[in-house]
Amino acid sequence: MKLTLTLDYDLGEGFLGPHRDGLRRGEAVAGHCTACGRVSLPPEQTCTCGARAPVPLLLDGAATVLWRTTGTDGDVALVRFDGSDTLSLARLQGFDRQARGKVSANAEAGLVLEPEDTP
Amino acid sequence: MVAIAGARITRFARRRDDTGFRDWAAEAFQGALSVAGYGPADIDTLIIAGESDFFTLQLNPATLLAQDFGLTGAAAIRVEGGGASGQLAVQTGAARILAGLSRIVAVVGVDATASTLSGSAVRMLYGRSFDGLTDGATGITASQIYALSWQVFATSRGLGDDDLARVAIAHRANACANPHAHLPRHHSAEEIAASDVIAQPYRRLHCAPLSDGAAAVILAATGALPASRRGAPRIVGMGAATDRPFAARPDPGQFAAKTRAMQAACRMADVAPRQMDVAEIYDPYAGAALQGLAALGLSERPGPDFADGSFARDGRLPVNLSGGLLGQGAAPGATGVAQVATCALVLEGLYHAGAQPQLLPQYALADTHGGICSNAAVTIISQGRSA
Repeated sequence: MKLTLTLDYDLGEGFLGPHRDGLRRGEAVAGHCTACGRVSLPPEQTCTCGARAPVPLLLDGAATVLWRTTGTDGDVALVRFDGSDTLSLARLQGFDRQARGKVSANAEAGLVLEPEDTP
Repeated sequence: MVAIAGARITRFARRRDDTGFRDWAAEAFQGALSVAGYGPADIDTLIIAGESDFFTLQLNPATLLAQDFGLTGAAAIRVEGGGASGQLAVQTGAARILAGLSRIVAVVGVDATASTLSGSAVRMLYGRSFDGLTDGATGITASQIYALSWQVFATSRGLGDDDLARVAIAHRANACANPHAHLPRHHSAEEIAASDVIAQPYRRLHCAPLSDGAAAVILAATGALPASRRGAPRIVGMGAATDRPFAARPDPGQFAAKTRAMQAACRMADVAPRQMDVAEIYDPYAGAALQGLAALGLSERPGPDFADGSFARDGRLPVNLSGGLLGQGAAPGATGVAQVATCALVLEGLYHAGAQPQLLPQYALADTHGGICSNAAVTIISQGRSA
């Protein structure tokens, strides 16, 4: 049986809303735990200390590429944003061998990095 | 105690024969039921494992399959935990028996990831196995996350492409003795090195295929076993655990949830990892097998140990006699059930002739995880003959 399904989702973003809105603008909005000070990007709803509901914290958007994989699935890296206590998964766009990147604005609100020296 | 009264695994493949998941599930269920010596009226609980309704486009599959199997009146439950779904379903069934809620439970794992959707659609769906609102929006694939995790692990251990090739070659060669395997192959290292780079260092031949398939086990309270099955293998240890999101872990190369699950299973069984005689290890990618062997406490030096044949068919701990996900194939809901079924059949000396160890093992280990070891399940099964 052949069947084509088109689904048009409207997903609530909840506590991730400030983070995703930031990515649409090209900003890195992390979660800041007011109990222990841990900064997570993407924000974690519950901190390692057990506290809930982190508050949004705007980082400067720059990150260091630590591990990178390329291939037919694309160019992706494990990166550390300046000011974040966690690593983050980001798609790389326009990278050659650069080790530093900055957040690129995108409508999908994905975590996309472009080289830091991109005008 | 819980016995595995019957087990059956269907062919894992890309099915092009106009059959569907309901047919595969029924084949597995009927086969396991026959081995157990029960009829449908004996089953008081049906537990279905399936990773995603997107693969079959069937919501509420447990109810539908209970009807298909003629189990009207039985309880029907669906269990899901990503790639660990099948083994979590087995553990749920065993827990119900231990709690006195059920006496005879059919656990059926089934998924269709090869024939119903395109490979690119399945990859996109799998990419939403992590965090759909963050990683999913970024378009990150499972292959990429596994590749990054392997890089972290391999760098800390001095491992490389040769180690990946050894695993792919060994597990696909094991699959050659499994007539139901999706990818029975005798690869060369050169062939692997020439395959497409999916997510460096992972090449196509380092990756498990997308498969269709089903597996079933019939679990029973030992007091409910028919006389002919009193020597059926026993589930003696179960453990399950979760972990933080991949990028938020202290060490993204470690499978910490698997370590916790194994420790819990060993505590329950009162055994140590070194007592395992045979193991089915979760290997969606070649490196994940080595990461798993380390996390499970089965090897402190998984690369060298693999290279010296410790995990070969005639090694100290035969691993993935079925071929694993790399060779047997990967139908996620079925995978964990198939691992437990394989262990049970091996313990009874009933596995495929070319893969069956001549000396019957005492303990077998089944290891599965979902996400990138965000949800791990480990089950230890023992010989039932002395029980």
